[in-house]
Amino acid sequence: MSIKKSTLSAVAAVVGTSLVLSACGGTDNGGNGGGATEPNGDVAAMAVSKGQSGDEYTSPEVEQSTETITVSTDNPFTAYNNSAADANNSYNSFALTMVLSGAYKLDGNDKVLLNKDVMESVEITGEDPQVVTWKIKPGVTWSDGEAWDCDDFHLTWLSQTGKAKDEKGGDIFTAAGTTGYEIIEKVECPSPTEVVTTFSENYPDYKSLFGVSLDVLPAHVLEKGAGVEDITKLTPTSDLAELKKVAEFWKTKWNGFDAALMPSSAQYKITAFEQNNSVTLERNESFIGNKGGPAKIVLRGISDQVAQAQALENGEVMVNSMAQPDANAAERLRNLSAQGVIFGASNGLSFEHLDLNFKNKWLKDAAVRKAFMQCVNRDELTEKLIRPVLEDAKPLGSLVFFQGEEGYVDNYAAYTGDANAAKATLEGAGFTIGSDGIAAKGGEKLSLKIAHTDIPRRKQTVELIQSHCKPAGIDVVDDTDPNFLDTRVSQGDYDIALFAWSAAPFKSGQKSIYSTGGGQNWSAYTNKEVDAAFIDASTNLDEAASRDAYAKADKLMAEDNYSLPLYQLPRMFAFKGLDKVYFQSYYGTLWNANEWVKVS
Amino acid sequence: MIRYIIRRLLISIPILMIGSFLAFLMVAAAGNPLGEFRQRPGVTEEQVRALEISLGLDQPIIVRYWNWLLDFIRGDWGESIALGQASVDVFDSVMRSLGITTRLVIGAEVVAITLGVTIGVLAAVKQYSIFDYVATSAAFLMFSMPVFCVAVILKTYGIQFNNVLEGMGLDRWLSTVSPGETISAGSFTEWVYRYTSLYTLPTLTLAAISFAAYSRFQRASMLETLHSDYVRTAKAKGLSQRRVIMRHAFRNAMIPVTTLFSINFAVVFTGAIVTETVFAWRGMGYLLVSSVRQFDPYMLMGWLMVTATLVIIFNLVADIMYGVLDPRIRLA
Repeated sequence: MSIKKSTLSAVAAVVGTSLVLSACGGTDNGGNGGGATEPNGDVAAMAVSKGQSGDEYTSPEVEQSTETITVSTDNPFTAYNNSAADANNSYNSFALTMVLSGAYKLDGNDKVLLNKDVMESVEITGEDPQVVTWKIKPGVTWSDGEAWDCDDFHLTWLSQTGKAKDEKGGDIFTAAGTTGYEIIEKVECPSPTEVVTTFSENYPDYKSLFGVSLDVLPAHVLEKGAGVEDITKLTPTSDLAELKKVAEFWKTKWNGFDAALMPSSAQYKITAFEQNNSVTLERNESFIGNKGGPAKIVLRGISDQVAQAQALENGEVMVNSMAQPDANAAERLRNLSAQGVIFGASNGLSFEHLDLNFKNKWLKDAAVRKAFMQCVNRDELTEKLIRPVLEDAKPLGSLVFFQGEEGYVDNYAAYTGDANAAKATLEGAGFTIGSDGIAAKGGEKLSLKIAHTDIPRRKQTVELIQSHCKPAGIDVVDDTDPNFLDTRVSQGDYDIALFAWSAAPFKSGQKSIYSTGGGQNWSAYTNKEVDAAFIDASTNLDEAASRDAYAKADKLMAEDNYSLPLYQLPRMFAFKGLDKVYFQSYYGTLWNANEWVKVS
Repeated sequence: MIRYIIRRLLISIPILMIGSFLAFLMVAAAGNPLGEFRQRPGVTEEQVRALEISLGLDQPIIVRYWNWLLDFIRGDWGESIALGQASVDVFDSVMRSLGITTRLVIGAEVVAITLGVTIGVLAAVKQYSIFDYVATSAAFLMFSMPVFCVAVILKTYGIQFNNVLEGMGLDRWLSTVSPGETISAGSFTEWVYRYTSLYTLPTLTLAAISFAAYSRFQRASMLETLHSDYVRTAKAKGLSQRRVIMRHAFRNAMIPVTTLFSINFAVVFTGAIVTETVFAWRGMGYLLVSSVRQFDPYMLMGWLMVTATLVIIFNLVADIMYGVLDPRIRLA
């Protein structure tokens, strides 16, 4: 039989095309389908752990299993010491949350809980100067048998105080952050289980210290490895040679994995590590509190979110935790509900925003700043960029508080993308709209550049803003620059800066962004009332008063039209076969892994 | 021959140096790995500066390249400067990635060349038959499909296949991602099961497009050889078709395919980026993408040295094989 070549080639093309379209166009297995569906299961309720009660946490008793639970995340674990600047990344926290205990921990809603597994109490025992006494529960040990005690707290302070300087004046520890520790004058150990910290100024966020960042490391291991007799004898002004020994060990020996150097003080211990791939945690039988449920947890890195979703579908992992949102993966996971997959998305602690540079000739005019904020349609930005993942996402209305947090007020609700209102504001300020539709004053057209790094989402943001603000008479120019965050942003070399702040659950670090002359106040913003409010907020030990002061600063900054918050970046997670999983914005999905119980 | 090899290797050295300098310059100038560090509230310029100094980023690019070159000659491949990577050793990372990619590529290329050559020869011998048309269509289909589509299709149907197995009461077999931890298999059977489970889908993905190229080249080359004078003479002398094909035509028809195989092997080795991303294998392709994304020129240099060396070696092997297969060619 002779078949024409052209016929067979055509058949091949049709078959190939249909295969391509069916597979590459994504799957549609029924279920909820679409991009605008509700998360499955009562996801919000999963943010509260079983062991929390009021403001305290105690590991609950759960059924102990012999199961191995594999969890996927975007990037793999790299270092046990996540406080060293070159090792610091959020994915390390995802594993260390089950390995390193601290005085406090956070629940799924970022509520601060006293860790009653290891702490008796934490109290402010002195004011002016502020003195905080941390009482450790007797009998808490590392998994190698050594006591978890004041030595470890002392090392935590010494390494992150930022005051141990080398000959050139640089921090010899090169810590990832020093916020809070730099104002601790001294750490005293009246007994192994009592830690007394004296602050040089009031610090209401003291609960963020000694553990929330998973920074309490084994001092005894460092003492032995660095050849130091007693870490509690060292201060930032001690002999430089001794401090350098400590710093060298602290920075370099706690990377990767070495079982002898990396004991556990929490429910799980690291037992295996594959560089660039995975870390294995096994139940820590020496843990003083109730032991974890699963026997083993493998946390592995899968950078492609769709591949994570397929691995969950194929039973190769039981939990997906995606710090990087992906609409395709979200769609796929929603469609797996019939297979018992529960999908959830939640707001993370990073938020995208637009900083207006007060040194810019146009933006120093309050009317121009206001007009710009009036024309940006934040709801449309959220709709197009965020709701495919988190369908009830709303624009963020605060620079200081996150949505759902106590004290949150939407100070930017008036800005709804009204180009006419923006145009009227400009005309009221003496601008005239030219024949090309662009406002001008003194013969100069109003043109503003939005600088950002080369991320697709930001490019789309600028394109949308261009379409919003052109009718208002503002010519918005895309200033894409992959080097933007390198040197330009810190030198204030921009008209408008578009980037994200990766915030922590505590607010102490915000002073440097918004206060006059603050280290991260690159837009030369200044308002004495805001400065005073931040000083009050960051030194007032009354939580309610502190919160009110932050709220006041937030409102004032909104009135000044300094920076326009856009939206919080969401996190996604999915799981099957477990009772309760939630993506905690700081710790990922393993924050309550000790409580996981397998369900059929 | 020896002089030829030495000459080729010596010429490669300045090419490698120029290439490494350009790559280093492009990645180092493209961005600062510490850009993200500034986005954390409370981080001071002093802290950023201290980290820059500790990672050597305060020095001019040319000085950094020179220091890297001197260290490399002494056998020190350096450390990663990507944020969050804890200054991981470049040599260890590259070798680990190379091992992963080697396991993927060798299987894929063996499958591709075996199938490609066999089908190419048969298609040429049975020119214009149904087999030939089906083989041609399959090859064009593979050429027309992007690698990521092949990968996604195989994964999708792999999961469906697993669902069928599960429905029959059997274990799920095919894996869609690399293993989360090293598991030492017990018996030989268990090892085979585990190996086929992990490598079937990515191997088929990598093999698909290579197979298409090999089969087409082999078919064309075989047709040309079969129509040559000496083959016609062999047939006229009464030799069996089998003998004519295998003893006379096949060897000469292999020459262009051998060259293609050698070159393609190096290409596939240096960056099965899409396949590795889709199947979550952190091999050389993943290493390339991550080092560029994270503005990490030292990791990129490690990648480049290995891949450039592989390309040089495999090209040299191709030239040598060409001379071996065709006695008329003498390498001078």
